[in-house]
Amino acid sequence: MNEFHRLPNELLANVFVHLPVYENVKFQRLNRRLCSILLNEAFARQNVTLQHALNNSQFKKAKLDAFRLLTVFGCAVAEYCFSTAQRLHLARENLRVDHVFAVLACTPNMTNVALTKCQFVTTKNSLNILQALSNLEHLQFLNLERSTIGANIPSGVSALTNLSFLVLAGTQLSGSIPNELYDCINLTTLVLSHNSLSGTISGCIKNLQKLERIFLFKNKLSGAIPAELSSLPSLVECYLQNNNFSGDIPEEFFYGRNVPVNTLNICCNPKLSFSANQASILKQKI
Amino acid sequence: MVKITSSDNQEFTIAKEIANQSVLIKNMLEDVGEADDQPIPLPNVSGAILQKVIEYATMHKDDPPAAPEEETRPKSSEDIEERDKEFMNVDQGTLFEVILAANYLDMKNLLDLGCKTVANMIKGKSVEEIRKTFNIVNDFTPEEEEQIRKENEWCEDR
Repeated sequence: MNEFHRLPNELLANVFVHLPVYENVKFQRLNRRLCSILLNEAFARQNVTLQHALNNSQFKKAKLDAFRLLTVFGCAVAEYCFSTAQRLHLARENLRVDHVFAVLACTPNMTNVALTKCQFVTTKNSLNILQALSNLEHLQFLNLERSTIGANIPSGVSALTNLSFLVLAGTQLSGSIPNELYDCINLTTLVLSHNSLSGTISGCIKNLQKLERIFLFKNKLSGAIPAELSSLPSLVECYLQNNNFSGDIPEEFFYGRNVPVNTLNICCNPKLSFSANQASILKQKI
Repeated sequence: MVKITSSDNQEFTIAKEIANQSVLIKNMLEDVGEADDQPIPLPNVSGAILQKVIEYATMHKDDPPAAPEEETRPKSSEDIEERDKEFMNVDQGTLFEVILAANYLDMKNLLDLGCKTVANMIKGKSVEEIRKTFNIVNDFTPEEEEQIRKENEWCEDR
């Protein structure tokens, strides 16, 4: 006697619809029939519910549910769930990189992405989460603070011409800062602190005419601090401490500016040299 | 008044506004017209279950018609009226019979109530507990089960 199994597929699918998505995931494991119903019939019904929830930005959980759905139904679900989304905010989650790819691939209008303190779980085809973002030409705000990236900054970042805020603090970045990053000419805030970035700051940084704040502290950057950085017209805050910069501090930080630099922190760079005059100004600016 | 007969030939005489809650019966009544006095046969529903369904229809005969925007609202198994909870406090066999009857008779509210009740029996249970509750036989090979378990591992236990 198996009463449950007497219900036809469409009615069992109707039961799924009344359950939150994370409960649905379990059905996949019950037995073959329920697994197939879940994959073939329940998904179509779940759509309306999900889309409604996703269009309402208050339902953050729904976005997470949608990510769970990706696990159950595969990447096809991404378009249903996210195609109209403009913002994606998740924190402290485990996300599969291929799922993030699938989601971002169908959200060309996304303006705002914050995936902070997330574990990006890589599957067979190991992909860099930053590469997934390169097709989002409308992206203005990107925050991946303290999520696991652990790679280089890809050159594809240059496609993000509307990007204004870029926060990659504590994401285990290594390698040098690619010149393509300086093609993001609308950047106002650039945060790359707490990483293992090495190499120098290129003179190409002069492209970032709108840059107001730059946070490069706690990296392994070396070489001279370029005059192109110190003469950026909009710069008000500059944090370069705990690196390995050498040479003189450019005078442009202090003189000949329309907008004065409020904060300049260059401490813990043992090879940097500065004049007595600069030292006294610096004391005020830290 | 409308006459209906169950699969085991029990005859019920019910008010028209109660009968009309079943889209199936409503359409039949419209087809045969007012004059016909013949009972409507319902060969898929037993007398005991029909009794139960009539009880539900009687209880809800004065409900206002559902608002059209209900369709797009996210569904939830939480919003069950107290009297409906009471009504659905039956053994599993009856519960599934009622769901099947509601589906056959095309009674959307009763069908949703049945499905929500089943959903609530599932909620919060582990896979093994769900299998036990509904006598679901696991027909996966251990390898397959392990594979599925692994794929979903990261999104579980929340």
